[in-house]
Amino acid sequence: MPGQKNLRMKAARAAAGLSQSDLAEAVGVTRQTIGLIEAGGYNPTLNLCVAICKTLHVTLNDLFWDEDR
Amino acid sequence: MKLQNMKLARKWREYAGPKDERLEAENAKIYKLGFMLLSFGMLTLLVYQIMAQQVAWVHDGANEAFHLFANAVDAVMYAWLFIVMIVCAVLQTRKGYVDTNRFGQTEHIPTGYFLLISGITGIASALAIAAMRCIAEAQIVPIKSVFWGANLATGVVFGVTIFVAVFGALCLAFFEAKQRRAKIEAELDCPDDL
Repeated sequence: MPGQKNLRMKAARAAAGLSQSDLAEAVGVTRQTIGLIEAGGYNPTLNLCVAICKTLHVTLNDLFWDEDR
Repeated sequence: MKLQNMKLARKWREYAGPKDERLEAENAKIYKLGFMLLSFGMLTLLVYQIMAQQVAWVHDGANEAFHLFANAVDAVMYAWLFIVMIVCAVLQTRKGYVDTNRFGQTEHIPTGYFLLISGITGIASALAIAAMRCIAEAQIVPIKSVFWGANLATGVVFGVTIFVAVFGALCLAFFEAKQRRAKIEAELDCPDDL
């Protein structure tokens, strides 16, 4: 995968008790897209990031801000 | 009136569901490649046709030979168009999808959606073919001599053929895409995933 894995998103999804399919359905994308975001293979748009954060009840900083980069 | 606000467009969006932004991005890349291939092919054929015309003009009495060239160029042009369409369709299925909406990556074959797409394509093709035949005929014979019924019948025959071909192609693409998707998802799956 070209990007870094988003383990925080994976952890937040697991904490919310959602599978990749559940989250994908909630934000209106395919399961593969969620899998690719978590695996670092796809950079989502801001709209999708916001939708994911709202569904998981977290902030953009929690999932997508990286101090080291 | 904006297309987005039109009632039919709104109903279609409600039926087809939201578009996956990643698939839209993948699609844009594939269509970009298709556009480049098509443009390159058409430009090459156009230049070749001009060169063949000039060569035929230089050699007196070679005009008949040029017509042979023209037929070959037409055949290659249609073949190239078909090849580019196949390339785009194959690339889409290799990415694991057949469409970018909610029917693009379904577990079971979306027969209703495929029938709808095939039906719209078939009806549009039938009407377009019948209309084009009538317009072309009206340019070479008086209006009263145009075979309206025969042209419509020809359009219907082509429309039905196109309907069957599109439905078959969509079903084939669905099964190919499903197989590819299973492979891609297997690579993405982790043991600790939910």
